[in-house]
Amino acid sequence: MRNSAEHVQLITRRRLLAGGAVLAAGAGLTLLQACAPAPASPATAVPTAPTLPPAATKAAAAPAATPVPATAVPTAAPTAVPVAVKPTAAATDQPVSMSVSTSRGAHYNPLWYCCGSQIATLPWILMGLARQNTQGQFEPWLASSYTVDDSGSSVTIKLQPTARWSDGQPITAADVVWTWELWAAPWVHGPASAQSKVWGLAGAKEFNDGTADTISGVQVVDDHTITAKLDPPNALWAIGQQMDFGILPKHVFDGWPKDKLADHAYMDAPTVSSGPYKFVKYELDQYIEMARWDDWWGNTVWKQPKVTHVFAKQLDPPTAIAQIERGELAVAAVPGQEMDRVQKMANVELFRVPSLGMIGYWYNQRHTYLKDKRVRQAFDFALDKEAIRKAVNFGLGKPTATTIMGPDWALNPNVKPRPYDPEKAKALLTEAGWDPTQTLTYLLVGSDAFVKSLAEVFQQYLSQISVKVDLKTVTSAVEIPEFDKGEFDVGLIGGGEFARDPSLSAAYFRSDTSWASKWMGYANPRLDELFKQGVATNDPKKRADVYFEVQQILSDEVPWILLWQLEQVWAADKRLAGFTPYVMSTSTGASLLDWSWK
Amino acid sequence: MGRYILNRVLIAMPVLIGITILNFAFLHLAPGDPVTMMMPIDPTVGASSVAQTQEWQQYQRERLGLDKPLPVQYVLWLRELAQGNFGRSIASGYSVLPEVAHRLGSTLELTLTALAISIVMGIGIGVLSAVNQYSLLDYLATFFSFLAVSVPGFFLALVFIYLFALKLHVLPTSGMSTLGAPATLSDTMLHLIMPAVVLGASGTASLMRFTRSSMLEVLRQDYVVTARSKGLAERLIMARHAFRNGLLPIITVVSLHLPGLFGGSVIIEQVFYWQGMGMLGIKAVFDRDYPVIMALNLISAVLVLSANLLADIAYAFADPRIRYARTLR
Repeated sequence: MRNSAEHVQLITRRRLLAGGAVLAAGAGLTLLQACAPAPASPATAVPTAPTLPPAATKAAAAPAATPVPATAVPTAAPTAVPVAVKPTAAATDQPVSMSVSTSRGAHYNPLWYCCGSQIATLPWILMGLARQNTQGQFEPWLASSYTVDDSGSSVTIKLQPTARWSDGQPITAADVVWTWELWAAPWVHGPASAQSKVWGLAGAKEFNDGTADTISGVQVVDDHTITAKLDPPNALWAIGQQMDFGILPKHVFDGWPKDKLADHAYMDAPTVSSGPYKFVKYELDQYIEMARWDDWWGNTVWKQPKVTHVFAKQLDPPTAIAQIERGELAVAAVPGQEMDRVQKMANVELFRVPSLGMIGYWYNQRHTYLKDKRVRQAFDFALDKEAIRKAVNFGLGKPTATTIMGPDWALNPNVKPRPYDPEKAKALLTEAGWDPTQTLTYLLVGSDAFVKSLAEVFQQYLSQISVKVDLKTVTSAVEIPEFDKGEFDVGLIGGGEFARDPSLSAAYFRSDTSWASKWMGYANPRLDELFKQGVATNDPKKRADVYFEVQQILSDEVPWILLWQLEQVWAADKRLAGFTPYVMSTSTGASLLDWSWK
Repeated sequence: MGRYILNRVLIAMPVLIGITILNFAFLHLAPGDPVTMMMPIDPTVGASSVAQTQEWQQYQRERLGLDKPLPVQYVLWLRELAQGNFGRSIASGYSVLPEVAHRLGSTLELTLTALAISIVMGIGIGVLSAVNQYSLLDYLATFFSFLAVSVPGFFLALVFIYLFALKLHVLPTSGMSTLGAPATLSDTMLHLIMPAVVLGASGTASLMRFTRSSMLEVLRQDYVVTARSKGLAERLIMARHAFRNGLLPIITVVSLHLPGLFGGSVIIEQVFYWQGMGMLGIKAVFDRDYPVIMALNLISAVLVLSANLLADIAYAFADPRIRYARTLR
């Protein structure tokens, strides 16, 4: 069996790190986790095709008013040039163009879909059981409800009773189960398939092995109700990413050989759809076009979208910024270094929201001289994180002490970022018996300007406490082998969706289930136990106690030095109403149902 | 003449094969491979999943033939190529040839327009400059040609976008067409004009300088003086005697511009979001998508070699001395 599901998540996270963050938050992060090629250099305005979708950022809308003279209002274009369709106040049916990441996948389809450009559009075409709202939390979509029992041993899913496909067929439990089986199937594998989505269902692995004909834990109760046993029990199954992938129409594939799925035309053009928009066209590397399904069954459940036509354009940030200034785009993610410029545009409104991800440094504790937590604390004290944030990240981001950054109920008020205190840092080093001749090696991956400057500030601040840091530069292609070799002490890590739920930090710090802890050389049995407890219940009070302690341990032991929580910046054309910023850069159209031209 | 052309073609073949061998070798020497790019190890999962990933990567390497020795891989690639098979993109799964052919069209559209602009503007202004040596026009042309040669294309592109799209609102910032609008020739031209002018700028400038000096040299020749002395109209002197002779060396210069145009288009395509081979190539390099990179390099090499060949032929055609010298040998 191949665990492609995990890869989907990985890739997503990785993108955050490698791609988006750099551009979106002005932060190019290389991930601890593997990653893809470094993103474009934000220093010049030459777009250099990042292969990864924009990184994580998020939301806490703070629209910046821009009462600037209307010199650049594109609607007033004086020529009769038919360039750029310009929506006018009267033309409410004008198309909306939004920028999405430049990454692309082989297929436009949730069986293998991978990339930002698809993430931003697919939920509107092929509905998943749940959908991420603008805060990054999942809410029911094709399912009317999903309930995990208290012990986390089973989930009951009810489908929207009126749901139907665009060809008139009803959407039933059979479609869901059939799609799940495809995800689990051994013949549907590959880097971007959805296998991990169903891995928690009892019997999925047996189905994958070929020892079972069905996923045994899944029961169809009636046409619109499914129960599924969870193995292992997981009280938080519904808050994970298990349900956002689109459900496929089983009847379209009737009689099609299961091992030839990739050759079915539907995999590239999902013309039978369930969501408020219909798939029109996927022009590779250029755009995805969607048109409103006027008779959408969900019009009475939610509401009918006002925007009739959407183009999701695959653009690099510098191009997107020029296009939004010109009025060719309605919505775009804004890289930190472009924020001032966008703020001055009279036709555009700026939105800032805290994102789900973070950026920081991680230690390779396989080296014994980093095993003493006082040494790790000393380096944390030695860094003026606020000054770095202002100088390197345009003031974007929010201080944080650990990767547990949200939701609010999970935040321990007593855990705070360490202040900048070089004297204390020196004292701690002395106390720990630090060898002053010891040189640290910083693993610098890629040549992105942001990533480089974070390496250099680390070097400079540590030199103030007389610790010499050498930079070891490698390309992103050999990042993983370098992690394996471990011939370095410190590296940069960033991205992720940590703020969505505190349990997500387990992916790095729970040593019995995470490979990352091996690279970090960090394990704490108490943390392992706490992370286990944290997912055993969905009672926020009990969970808060658990994660309060986790934060204390992480803050005390400093396996990572947290620089800041990322912040996502969006620009939206002022003529567009209803835009709510999304917490990450991936899903530009998260609030699409509310959009309309003023 | 036929023998001369054949001769040139035969020389070009081994050069082409040499280029592919070098490309192939350098590609595989670069760190990383397409399989790790497809599915890197996820550090957030457990050891058994990492083992599965490694197993999957190994399986993919075997499936893609990446585990074979390099020379074997090269020969296999060549064998498929001989049958017209460029393979499938490792990253996207699409057949390489249609995708590259599609992009080739866009790139040719851009580069040939740029070339046309270079030729018309460069030669035209160059001739005028030479004829009106030390005039205001001459000085202006010289000034702008130095500017165009010295300013990097990507920077000029940004200046153009700022000026014509963001300030004057007369041209679109980027892209190849207006989404949601019917495809029309004028729409395409509006999107094409900035990238083509920027791409052709340095070519225009150097052609201008070249034409100017070539013309000046010819104008000093005895036969021009003779023509003048026998009272021929200045216009006829220019058209019949000076221009045609002055043009000879320029043929070579024009064809040597082609490789530069293809190279330059990689950057210009990025800046203007022109979906040509350059954009495809950069993505392919990030993905370590060997079949796509090889196909792109091969096509670029063929185009450049053809351009050189064309130069040789055109030159031989225009100047009989070359033709005869080579054939006699």
